[in-house]
Amino acid sequence: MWEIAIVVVLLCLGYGFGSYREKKHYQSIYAREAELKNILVFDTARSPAPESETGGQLVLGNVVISSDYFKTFVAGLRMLVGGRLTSYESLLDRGRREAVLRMKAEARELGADSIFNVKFETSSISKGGNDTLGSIEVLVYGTALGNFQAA
Amino acid sequence: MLISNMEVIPQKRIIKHLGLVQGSTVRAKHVGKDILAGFKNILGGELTAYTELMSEAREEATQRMIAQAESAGANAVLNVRFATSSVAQGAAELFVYGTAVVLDGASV
Amino acid sequence: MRNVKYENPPIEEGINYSQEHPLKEFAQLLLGIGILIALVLLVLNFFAGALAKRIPFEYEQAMLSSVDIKQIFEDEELSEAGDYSTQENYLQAIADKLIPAMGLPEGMAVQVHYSASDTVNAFATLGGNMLFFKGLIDAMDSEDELAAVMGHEIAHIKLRHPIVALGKGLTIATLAASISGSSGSSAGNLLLGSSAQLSMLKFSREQEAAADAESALALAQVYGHIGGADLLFQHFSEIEGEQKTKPAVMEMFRSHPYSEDRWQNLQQLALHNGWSTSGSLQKLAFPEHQPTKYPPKEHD
Repeated sequence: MWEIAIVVVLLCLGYGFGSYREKKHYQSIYAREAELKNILVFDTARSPAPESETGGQLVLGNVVISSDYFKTFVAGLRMLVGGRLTSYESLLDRGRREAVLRMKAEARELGADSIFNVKFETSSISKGGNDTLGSIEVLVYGTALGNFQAA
Repeated sequence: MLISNMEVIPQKRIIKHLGLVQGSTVRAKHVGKDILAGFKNILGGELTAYTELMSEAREEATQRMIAQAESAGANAVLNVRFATSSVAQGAAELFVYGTAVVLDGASV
Repeated sequence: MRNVKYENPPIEEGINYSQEHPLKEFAQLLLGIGILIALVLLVLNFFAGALAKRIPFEYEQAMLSSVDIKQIFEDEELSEAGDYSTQENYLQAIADKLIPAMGLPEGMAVQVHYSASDTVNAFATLGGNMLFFKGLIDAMDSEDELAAVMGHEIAHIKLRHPIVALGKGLTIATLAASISGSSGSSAGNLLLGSSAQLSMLKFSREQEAAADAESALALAQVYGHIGGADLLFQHFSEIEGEQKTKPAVMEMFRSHPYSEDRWQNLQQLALHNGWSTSGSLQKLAFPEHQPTKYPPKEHD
């Protein structure tokens, strides 16, 4: 009986804090995406007109995210029947967008206006339990080009 | 929608670059297939259930990336890259990203 | 300068993630999986029970031949193993009194064991073995009451309840293990774990009711009336009421239905079969009997 009570409490905590954080985070993401809109990001290796570019410095953004109890629980249930793990999808989407924004912010500080040859890396920092997400690091990096002096 | 992992397409000219587009999905197979795959670990060979899982996931992630490209107004996605990671036992995250462009003379 | 146009158009939301409310999916999954698991358990239970009954009785006896029954069920604060043969002989004599009236299948033999622990309980387990605790016997006032308990336990053995309960428990445990092993989902564990914790030798309500009915039938034949069972359940009701926090009593509580309900069922049975619920009771001649804290009732 006790175990069920504890699980319910953890679920409520996870859901409450988790959904609050997610909403706040998405609002922050929208705001910053609008602000950093004019930093262009491409994953092509070459700028179409390389002779006219200046700059050229590696910029990167990274973030480590972890799942809350509610998301993990729902994902656990979902893994019994198969299909999309929607609870993790929004988490990973937030993580990636956050990492890209951090990279853009670094480029903005340099005075660059575009980032080329962008690559993503995802790695697991800790594998929680035997089924849970644990924590994941999302890393985005690219070369910033624009009118600035490379350091 | 043209998808390619080359940077330039022969005979086509890029007239507009529209930025990075991504598609991702996290999928799992149901527990019955997991148990069967567990047995296969003893016998070896192709785990068809998981092969299916990865193919479905890849397909869906690509569709999502195309949806993002369409929403941006592109007609091709270049320099496409795939990234796969395991998020939990028996569940895989598939991530596709590329640059959305408008090609001159491209057939949509 | 660049002669290619660069733009950063906004991309619509909701492509890489779902905008459905998470609680909705949570509720759907919980309900769906709950129902699925309940169905699977029902089917498995049924087949496990049916199959278990087919295991021959000799196999049960062989299973326990190398095990000392007392070791399985003893509490820690137990008196050292002594020679309880006089007590066991007495109990076996009562069992032998009841067996002819119970119609045991051929080849089935029962053996009574005695433990000097204060636990108020008695068990029937595999291979026809029964264990009676001192705590229970001390709470008995008459031979009829003790015979009612004895008949109940023998009925469990006759109806093969121990092996059926074991079969069901093992099946559920295997299911839980295979699910937790493969998907490692803590959610699945939770849903299955509580049902897999069915102690493997716990009997269901139906099994207990069936045992009570068989026991009453035997009592009526051997003693001429079922006063023993009647008083037993009344007695237990009182004990449950007054003493329910004592650990020795809690044990009985957890493994049997409420005595009040059992008493009601008994009255129905008596009415249906024309048995008398009162009659002269035999004195309890248990060696070194120490009637306990519960005051003896008035017999007529």
